[in-house]
Amino acid sequence: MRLELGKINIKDVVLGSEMKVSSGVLTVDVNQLEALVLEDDRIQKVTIELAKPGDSIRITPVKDVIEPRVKVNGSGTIFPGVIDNKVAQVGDGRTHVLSGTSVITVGKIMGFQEGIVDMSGIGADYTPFSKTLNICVVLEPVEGIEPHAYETAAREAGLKVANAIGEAGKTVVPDTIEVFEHLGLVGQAMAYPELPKIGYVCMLQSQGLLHDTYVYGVDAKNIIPTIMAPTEFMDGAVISGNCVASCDKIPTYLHQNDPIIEDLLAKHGKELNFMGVIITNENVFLADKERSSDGVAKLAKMMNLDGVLISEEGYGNPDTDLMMNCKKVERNGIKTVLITDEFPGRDGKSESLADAVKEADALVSCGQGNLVITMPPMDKVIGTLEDIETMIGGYDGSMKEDGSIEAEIQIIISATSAFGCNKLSARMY
Amino acid sequence: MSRAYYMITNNPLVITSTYKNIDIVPVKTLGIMDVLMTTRDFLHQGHRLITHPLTGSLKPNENPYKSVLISKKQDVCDFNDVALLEQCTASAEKFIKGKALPKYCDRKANDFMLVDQLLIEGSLK
Repeated sequence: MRLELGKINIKDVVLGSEMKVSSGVLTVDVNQLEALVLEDDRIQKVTIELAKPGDSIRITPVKDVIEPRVKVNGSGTIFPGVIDNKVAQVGDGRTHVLSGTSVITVGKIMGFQEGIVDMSGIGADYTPFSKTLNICVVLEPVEGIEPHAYETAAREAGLKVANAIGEAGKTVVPDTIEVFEHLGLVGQAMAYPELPKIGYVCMLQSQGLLHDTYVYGVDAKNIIPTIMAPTEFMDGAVISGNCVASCDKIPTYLHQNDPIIEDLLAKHGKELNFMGVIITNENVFLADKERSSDGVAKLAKMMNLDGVLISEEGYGNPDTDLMMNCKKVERNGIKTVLITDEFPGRDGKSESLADAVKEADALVSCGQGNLVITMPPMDKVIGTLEDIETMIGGYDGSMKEDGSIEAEIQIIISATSAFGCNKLSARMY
Repeated sequence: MSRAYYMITNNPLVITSTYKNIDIVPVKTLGIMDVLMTTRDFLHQGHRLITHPLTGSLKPNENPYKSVLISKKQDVCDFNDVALLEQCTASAEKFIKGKALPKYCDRKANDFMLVDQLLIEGSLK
């Protein structure tokens, strides 16, 4: 599989009456986007607003973050299985990216499981999405809608908007073009026989309604572990459909721009031989956990891997999947490194994870979610501050009279993401 | 494999529901600790853990409601299940010690009930 990824560097975004990219400025057709979202009769009202790095703007409650992309050639469409129901294989051909932009869906679905993106102030330091030019899609559902129906509508609205914006980049000449190629397992192994063969196990949140991830449109709780090429992620084959705690949520944007995949590709052929990605799930049934972790260990062995990185999404239940994957892969003689965030209490002294095995002796920490910070008031709020005190990370008294917010960093989108997209970590001396 | 289960739950939405092949074991207190303790007692008697005790990725000091599915059939006590339950209990105690469960308004409490119910019902499909 060979993908050319053309990045169009977007320097500014403006609202207008046509969809276009000109001299690095993206103009967004507001009427087109609103009409597109309102085609869904589960959505009553939508507004499109902009938030740029450095703005005194607080976006909340944030559901998902998505990067606009478009397939220029090669089979399939961005977000296969969702947009227009085209499920053709992706990861081949050419894709253009409106780099530096993102679509953020904003809406109160499950009050406590959405989070905050601040565009300036200390809160901005903790989220990668304070650095992007954000096109916010603020949604209001029809009266009486069930939360899971609204989640589906909000998810699809975000993907449709990102898809429509991405189309504006189809005929634009990219600023940079990177080429990623996967030679197949045998070809990949033979290309750098002297380097260690490394795989990446990407654990997808899949506990059930409101806690799901989709692969080619399929609910990840119904998959058994499988192998994917890195380029399939770049084309949106994996999308977020969940409302887990904000700090360790993996929004769709991070599946499209997985920092672990990016780093492995950067080291591919130099320090290591990146063989591919194994995706697996995080179901609530213990029998499913056994089946999936057996599958992960089997695939790692069949790929002749020497080492594996394993990331997780969420806390508690997924910690058990993380440990089962670690234990079984290690028992096949393959070294593992786990990547996760920590919840060791505010003093940082308690156990960080809800499960542990002795094979888990190498772990990268992406920071601890219980850290308390105070975020200054912002001039503008996109969305509503109504639920701040009951969001995960907030508490009675979090919302101050002057508009500032004192809360655990759990409340900030992707603050401690186990994809390592932030600056937090921990070191052992 | 036996298809009969016990559902240990303190979630009013689940307690008042009926599910095929499932007997509800109601727990009357808020917070997940008594649900975990009740589950532990059943595991000690040889029942098997069917769903993970910390579903939902909600921290134990934030989530008032929890439902756990165990087997109705008894066998010898499974120490792996007991160890997992004990680890989850230790993790829950840590969170609750650091920050107690807040009191939620009805709308919020209902959201928590609904998430727990949707997760456990989703697992039954």
